[in-house]
Amino acid sequence: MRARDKNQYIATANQLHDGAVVYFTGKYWSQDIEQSFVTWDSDFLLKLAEETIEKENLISLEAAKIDENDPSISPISMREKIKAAGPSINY
Amino acid sequence: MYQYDAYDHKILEKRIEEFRDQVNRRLSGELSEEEFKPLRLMNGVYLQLHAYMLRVAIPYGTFTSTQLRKFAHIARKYDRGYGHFTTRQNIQFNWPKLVDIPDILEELASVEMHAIQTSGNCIRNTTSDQLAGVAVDEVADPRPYAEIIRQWSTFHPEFAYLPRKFKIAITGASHDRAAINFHDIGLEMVKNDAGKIGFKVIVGGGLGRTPIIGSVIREFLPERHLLSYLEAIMRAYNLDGHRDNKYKARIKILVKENGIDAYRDTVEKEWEAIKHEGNTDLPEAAQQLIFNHFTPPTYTHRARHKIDFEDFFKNQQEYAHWLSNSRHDHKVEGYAAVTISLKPVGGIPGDISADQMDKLADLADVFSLGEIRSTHEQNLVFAHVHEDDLPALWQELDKIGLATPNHGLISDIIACPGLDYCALANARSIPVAQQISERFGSDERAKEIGELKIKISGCINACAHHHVGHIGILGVDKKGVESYQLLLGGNADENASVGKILGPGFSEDEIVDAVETVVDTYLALREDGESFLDAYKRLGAEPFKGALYDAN
Amino acid sequence: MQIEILENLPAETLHIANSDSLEKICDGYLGSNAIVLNFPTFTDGRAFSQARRLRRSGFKGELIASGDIRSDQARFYAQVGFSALYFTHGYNKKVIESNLNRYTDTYQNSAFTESTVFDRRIAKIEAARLSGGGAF
Repeated sequence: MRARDKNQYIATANQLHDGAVVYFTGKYWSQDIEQSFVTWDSDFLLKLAEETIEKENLISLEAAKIDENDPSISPISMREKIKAAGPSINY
Repeated sequence: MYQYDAYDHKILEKRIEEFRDQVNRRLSGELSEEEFKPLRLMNGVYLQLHAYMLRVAIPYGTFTSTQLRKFAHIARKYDRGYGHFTTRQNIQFNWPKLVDIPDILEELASVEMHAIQTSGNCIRNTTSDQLAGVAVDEVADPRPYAEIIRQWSTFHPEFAYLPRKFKIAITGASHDRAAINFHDIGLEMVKNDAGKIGFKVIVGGGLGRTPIIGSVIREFLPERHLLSYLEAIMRAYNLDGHRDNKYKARIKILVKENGIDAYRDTVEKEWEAIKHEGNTDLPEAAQQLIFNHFTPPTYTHRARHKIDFEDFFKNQQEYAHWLSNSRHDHKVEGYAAVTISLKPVGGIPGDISADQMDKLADLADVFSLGEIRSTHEQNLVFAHVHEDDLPALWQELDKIGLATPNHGLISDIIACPGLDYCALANARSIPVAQQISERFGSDERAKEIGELKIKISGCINACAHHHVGHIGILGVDKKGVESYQLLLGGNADENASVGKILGPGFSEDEIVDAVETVVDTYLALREDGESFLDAYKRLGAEPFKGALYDAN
Repeated sequence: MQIEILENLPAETLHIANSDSLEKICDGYLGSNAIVLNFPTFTDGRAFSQARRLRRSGFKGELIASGDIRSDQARFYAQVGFSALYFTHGYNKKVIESNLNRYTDTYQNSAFTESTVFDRRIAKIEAARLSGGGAF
């Protein structure tokens, strides 16, 4: 099944102490989405990221689909877009 | 207004000590997130998309200028300079750090405020009529009873882990401004034939996935038995409510499945046992102590604030428009209650900046005995304004952008935070509210349309009460794209009704046009003086469906 | 507040499932020495109400909370009438102690005859009245 899933994924989480959004680089976590580790295998990605979560004091691990046609790393869903860029409104 | 005594203060102090310890144990890794999450939720701390959110309880929507200044301080020091009033009369801060929250709670405690049970599957803040104590159509002031419920439900050991969250609303007035038909328990104060005060008790109302109008479980509950009866309802629900499916866990499903008569039998039997036990209802003296806090103020105040006459006469039409929808009759002759709209055209419903909070606190001191109310429609109220002070108050509110003359009109929109903040949302609510409010931004047009309540939720959980909007909008996720369904004919007041979905949803680009089509259809078909809701009742959904879908 | 932590369950304990109906619970069980009520997950609060009812019905024996019970809820267990906790997993004795001792005043009546905040307020005023407004 997974072979047919052509989507690319990144992993996101929130920092425990302040809730800020961070991205998994494959080794550590960064607030810069561009440093994200990108893969087709979301199960593998989440498993790898999961192992670091407790040590890094992170919560709410999620995988996000990204747009493979975009040269920069940009999530597809509005939810993940907003999570990356902040509220879409001028608050 | 209620003031804490030494017991209340001590309980709050101990709670902060406990929560600080829990946060520290979480940060040190001693508590896992799975263990900590219910503990933080029970204290109003959510994780949203980009940050934590702290929801602060405003018991029955009444607070002081001192408390408002404290909100401003918290917004500046620990957040991003603003706060957001919710549909349950509370205030939320959208950007606090977990590590700061114990300190924020200490700040709040210094002005007798807290975040206890503003989330979690427990008894939440009891909401009430924003005109409580001053409404002309009131049997009695419901707030002393709301305070009694607040105290009784605070850390109630038996009801800390209910099947699902539990919301109580109470009103003393015949016109329902507190949506009591759509709460887990709704209480309406009534007088019986003997002239005694009591409650009509409504149970099992709610919105969310399954909107249900509550059923009357008891026509008249003598007021001295309030707590024993509530306890009986809660105990029966705690034992029998669904635990296996989150979406069936609210009391409304239990009542619906068993039928109100069977549920009543269970409750009344339990109630007899509790009354026999005799230690749940408050002793009269204890009740009186709480009532003493709610003696009506003596109405002798007048601000005699300076009026800028030139400005006033230049803009007097605007003033008249503001007055016509923002002023409410008052029990005491010569006084009025005033709604302060938190819905500026193109603004974010319910948001208020720290600077506005500070200035509004000053105005409350000058014009309204230092007291402010929040409403479930995400506005604020000054409840004690001398009629002669209205022009000056209007001018002062206008200076801080809080004199939008749209209360009850089409741009007085309820919207949940939606996908811009909320981790549960499927679609954005705020931008849709902003666009609608801009589209109908002209005072003339809004006035012509008349009373029209739009309510926009960003998901099926219905935090913005879309089911009971005259026009309701529900944001859904349609294959990764935001889509908006239209519902018509909902009503949250004493003539409660649930809106019906019209048809297929609209995209973000189409939804404002769709609302305009509905409004234009109403304007074309209405009879003299007929409100939107009345016209809808007479016409049904068909003409609106025709206008929206047939052209395509 | 007090609650005992048991290392072992007493012999001949009666186990009551938290899905047992209201009516069934109270009859016939009252003569037992010890009853165990179960929390399948700590967020399933049915056993709180069962405990409250058992005490009301006159059950005087050991009332034991077990299953997924948590140290941070210790005082809730005690307040509704549990006399003992039986952990099948780890617990933090220090947290339990501080949880039980932290709050000396509660707004709710408990299964035992402690006075509530409401009672204490009246007592305080009564004491002040008897002492002539505290003019000692």
